[in-house]
This record gives sequence, structure tokens and C-alpha cells, in this order.
Amino acid sequence: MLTIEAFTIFIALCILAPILGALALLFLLAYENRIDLLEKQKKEMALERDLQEALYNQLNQEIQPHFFFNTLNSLLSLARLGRKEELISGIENFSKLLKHKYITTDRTLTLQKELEYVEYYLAIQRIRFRERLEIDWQTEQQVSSALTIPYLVQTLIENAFKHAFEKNPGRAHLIISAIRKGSQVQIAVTNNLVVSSTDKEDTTGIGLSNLENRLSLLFSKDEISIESQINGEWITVSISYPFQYWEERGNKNEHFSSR
Amino acid sequence: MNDKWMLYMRGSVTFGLGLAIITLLARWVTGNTILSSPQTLIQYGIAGSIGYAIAGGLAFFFLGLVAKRVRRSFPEAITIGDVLKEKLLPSYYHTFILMLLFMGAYALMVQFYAAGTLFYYAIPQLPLIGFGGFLLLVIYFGGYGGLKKLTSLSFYSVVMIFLTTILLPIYSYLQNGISPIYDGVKLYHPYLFFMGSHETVWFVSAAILVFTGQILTDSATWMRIFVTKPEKIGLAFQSTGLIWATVPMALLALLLFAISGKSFDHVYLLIQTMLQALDASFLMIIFVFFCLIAMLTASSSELHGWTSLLIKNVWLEKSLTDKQITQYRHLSVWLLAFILFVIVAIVFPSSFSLLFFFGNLYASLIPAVMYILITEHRTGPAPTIIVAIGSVIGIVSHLSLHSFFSIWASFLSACLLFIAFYLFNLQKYKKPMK
Repeated sequence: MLTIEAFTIFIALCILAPILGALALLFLLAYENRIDLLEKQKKEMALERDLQEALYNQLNQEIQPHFFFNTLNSLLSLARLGRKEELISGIENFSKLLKHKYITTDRTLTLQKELEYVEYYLAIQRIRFRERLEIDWQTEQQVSSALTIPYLVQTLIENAFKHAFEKNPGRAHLIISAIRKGSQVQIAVTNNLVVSSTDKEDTTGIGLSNLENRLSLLFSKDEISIESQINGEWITVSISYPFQYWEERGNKNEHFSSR
Repeated sequence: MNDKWMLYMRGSVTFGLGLAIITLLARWVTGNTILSSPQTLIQYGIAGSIGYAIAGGLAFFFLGLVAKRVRRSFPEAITIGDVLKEKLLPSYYHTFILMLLFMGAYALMVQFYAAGTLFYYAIPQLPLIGFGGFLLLVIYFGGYGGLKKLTSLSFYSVVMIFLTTILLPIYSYLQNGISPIYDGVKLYHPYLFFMGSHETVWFVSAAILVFTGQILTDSATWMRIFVTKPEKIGLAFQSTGLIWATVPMALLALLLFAISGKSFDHVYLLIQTMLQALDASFLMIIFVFFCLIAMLTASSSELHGWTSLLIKNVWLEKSLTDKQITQYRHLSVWLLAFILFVIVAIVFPSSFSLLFFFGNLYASLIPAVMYILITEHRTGPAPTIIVAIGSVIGIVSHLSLHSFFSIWASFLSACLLFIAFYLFNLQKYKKPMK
């Protein structure tokens, strides 16, 4: 049996509950946009910080000591051999790549743009590897305007060169694919010449977890998947994340729209 | 797809959290919420009424979990039919769409019954004229207005919901005091204060199933899900569940005030008793206006969902021309409204029996829809057959069991059949390892 005290509390609850509900809804209506904006700013700040970190890692650990001298040596060889056309094209690509590496401040970009820079990188590597390198592009047109983060594809490709092609002799096969699978974008890089267990560990190492951390700033973790599959001396690293169109607003502030 | 239909179905904006809550609240604070409150109170006491509110809230929580996943998996869907099209083989997809259309028409009939009841008590001289006018407004907003107009209407509806649920109980209890109301209820209706009935527990548990089934199969709710930002869906449903639960609670407080110190002839007359208890005429106007706008928004949303399902998943798929679709829309909207008008004018069941009338079907539909939405592969006739078996088991068990037990029988039998079906097909659907 309900006592008078319990009844009083119950009625107070019945009266207060709609008031609290109305206040909560009013608060949401008034401040929802601001809360969203703050969340977006927070994400952008985290992305920017992360980008700076990624740039630092890229520039200090990869370009300067390793890639930079190798490329210069390759260009020098071209000059000595008098292959003027190839030399000009190589310097041009190298200049574009460096420009991208040093100047990029975009927190996000289109997949098309990312693949463009990858092409510059591969054009330079082709000078070194020449006929040894075989590249197969399998990209769909519909993902070209998809949102991505800088150095996503390039990190995978640099891994292939660093831990497979440069270490082990033989024909270097590289398959780059970017497709749309339902509501997801799937990017996969497959390469051969992964011979030793150290190569396998290195290819699936820190670089990938760094990519996962960066992607998780844009999407929730359950929407992202990074998988590596080893089959003999072949390895496929595939990254899948939600498809969103990249849209530009203003000069450097970009945002992304969900579909 | 023609922009005209797109605008009718989706409106022009993507809902954030606030708009999603407003439109969902306006869709689910229905005539049945208002009219079944007195019956719940009288049959199952205060405990039953609290349970009824919690059951509705829990159903929203549950759907929030499913909706989030579906919204992310089908970013370009407009209606629930679009999801079913991807998940069911063509002929079974059409069967399911037919079932959804039937359930939609039934849900609309329930809303119309509630509106008819209100007009019967509010204007006893000319209830059919009042109801006819109401029907025309429903056709205007739901059949022709589209989601944009419905969103504006939902805003006014939610304002009225809060105005009524806040102002009326405060006024009543401040004016009379809690203690005299408690004494009045204890003197005339002491059974309402009894808390330990087993039947109440069964009622609440059955209500959770029926509410979940209703929300899960409601095309209007799914349309709101598909225009809401994916990241906001979970919170939108949780908040709607919490806020929705406050409405039956506030109505309960009002009803206790209305029946305090007096008896009543019939449970259906409780709404009239409540209107009479609000001695200030402006409060009466607020209450009647609240009932009308809540019923109007809920019915219009239902009709909008029903018509959109027809446009998107029936007519547009048959590649009909715009002119033909327009003609079919006129015909179906007016025909449905006319048939329901005739049914409501002739038959007069209790709102409570209506709520649980298709309880068995709703309970069997929960595992079916969940199976379709969650599994990765396309399914054949299994969901339709299992829903039919589950409903029949429930209806047969109703002969020897209480209706609430039979609802559970439907739900559990459908669940078991789906588990058996899944295990049977596990090997078939297992992805080969690369």
C-alpha cells in the first residue's frame, strides 16, 4: 500500500519530470550547435596536433636520412648518364613531393589528392627501381572525392619499399586499390618480397597503429578496420573507414559531409 | 528520383539531436498514450501506470541501439523498405512491405479511434463532424504536407505537450494540496495504491514487447531515423525515451486528481471526469488542444510514413510517371481515410483492446525485424513464415492463457524459431576463410 509520504514523492516526481524534460530539450535546442562546434574544434585541434606529429615523423625518420639521399643519388646518376628528360621529370616530381611534405597543413584531403602525391613518390621510386618495379592501380572513380587523412596511402607504400623492395632482390609488385564497399571506403596495398619474419613484423608495425589513431579522430573506432594478410611472400594491408565526401569551405578550413 | 517526392519524404534538413527528439516525441505522444492512461491506472493501479511509462521508455532505448547500426549501414536509405529491399529476396520483400503497410494502416486506425473518442466526449452533439474535420487536417499534413510541414507541426505539438504536462498537474496539486487528493483516492479507490500484483508485472513486460514491436515496425519512426545525423541517433532515442515516460506520469498525476473523492461510471468516461475536474476553462482548453494536436501530429506522421512507403517502395520501383504517382497518392490517401472513418464511425472498441489487439503480431515481428536488420546476408521466406507461426502460437495459446502470456508465447516461439533457423544456416552463410 502506498503511504502518503511515498505518494507525495511520487507526485513531486510526476510534476518535476516534465519540467526537467522541457529544460533539457530547451538547452539542447539552444546549445546543440555550439556543442557540436566545440566538439568539431576539439577534433580539428587533435587532428592538427596529430598531423604535426606525423609530419615530424615523416620528415625526420624517413625523408631526410633515407629517401632524400637515395633520390639525390638516383638523380645524379641520371645527370651523369645524360638522360635529360628523365632528370627533369624526376626533379619535378621530387619538388612536388617535397612541397607537399613541407607545406601541407590540411588536416584532411580527398583521396584523389592523396593518390596524386603517391604518384609523385612512385615516379621517383621508379627512377631507382626502373623495370624492377611493377605497379597495378585498381582505384574506383567514385572514391576520388572521399575524405581521407594525409599520408594514409603513402605510409602503406613507403612500408612496402622500406621493408620489402629495398631489402630483398627480385621483381617488386605493388597493387594499390581504393574502392567503395557499401558505406565504407576500402584502401588496400599489396606487395611481394616480404621474406623474413622481421619484414612481416615491420610492415604491420607502428605505422599502422599510428594510422588507426589518426583515423579514430575522425570516425568511431568500431567503424575503422586495419587488417594485414600475409600469403607466402605477399602481404596485403587494407584499411577500411566510412565513406564521406570531402568539401572545402573557405581557404584552409575544410569540413566533411556525411552520406 | 523527382525532387518533389524527395522533399515530401525527407524534407529539406538533416535532424540534429533537438529536432530528432521533437519529431519522435510528437510521433509517439499519441491518442493512445492519452486514452489508455486511465485504463492502465484503473486496471493495474499506480504501479501499472509507472510500468507503462517505463515500458515505453525502454522500447525507445532498445530501438536507439538498433537504429544507430542500421543508419550507419544504410546511409542512403529513406524508408525502412529500402533496408528490407537489401536484406530480403524480392518476392519476400514485397510480402514484408505489404505487412508493414497493413500494420501502418492499423496503427492509423488506432489513432483515429482515440481521436473519435475525444470528439465523442468533447462535442457529443456532432462528434462525426469534428472527427471529419480532424481527418481532413491529417490528410493535409500527412498526405500532402511532407516532413517539413510535419516538423513544424511537431514543434507546436511538443510545446503543447510540455505546457499541459507541466501546467495542469502543478495547478491541480497546488490548488488542492497533495494530502486531500491522497485521502480522496484512498477513500474511493484504495485498490490503486496496491503495489504487489503479479498481473501488473506481466502487463508491463507484455507492454515492453508491444511498444518495441510498434516502434520497430513504424515506418514514420524509421523515416526520422534516416534523416537524423548518425552520431546523434543513440542519444536522441535515449532522451526521447526519458522525456516520453514523463507524459504518462503527468497524466497519471492528473487522473489521480480527477478521481480523488469521487467515483466514476465507466472507465472511458475518465477523460470526461478529468476535463470536469479542471474547473478553470482555460485549463480545459489547454487539455483539449493538447489532445487534439498530439493526435493530429501522431496520425499525420503515421499517414506520412505510410504514404512514403507506398511512393518509395511500391510506385517508384514500378517506374510509374510523376502524374501516375500523384494520382495514386490522391486515391490511396483519401481511400484509406474514408475506410478508417467508416470503421471508426461504426465500431467502437476499447482503446486498450486495440493496443494489445495485434500484440502477438508485434511480438513475433521483433525477432523477425531484428534478424533481417542484423544479419549480413539476404534472407528468403523465413521471417514471414516465422512471424506467421509466432502469431498463430500466440493466438492459440490465448485460448488457455492470459493475453499477456500469449504475447510472450509469440515472442519466445518466434525467437526460438529464429535461433534454430540461424544455427541451421550457420554453415551456409559462414564466409570462406581467405
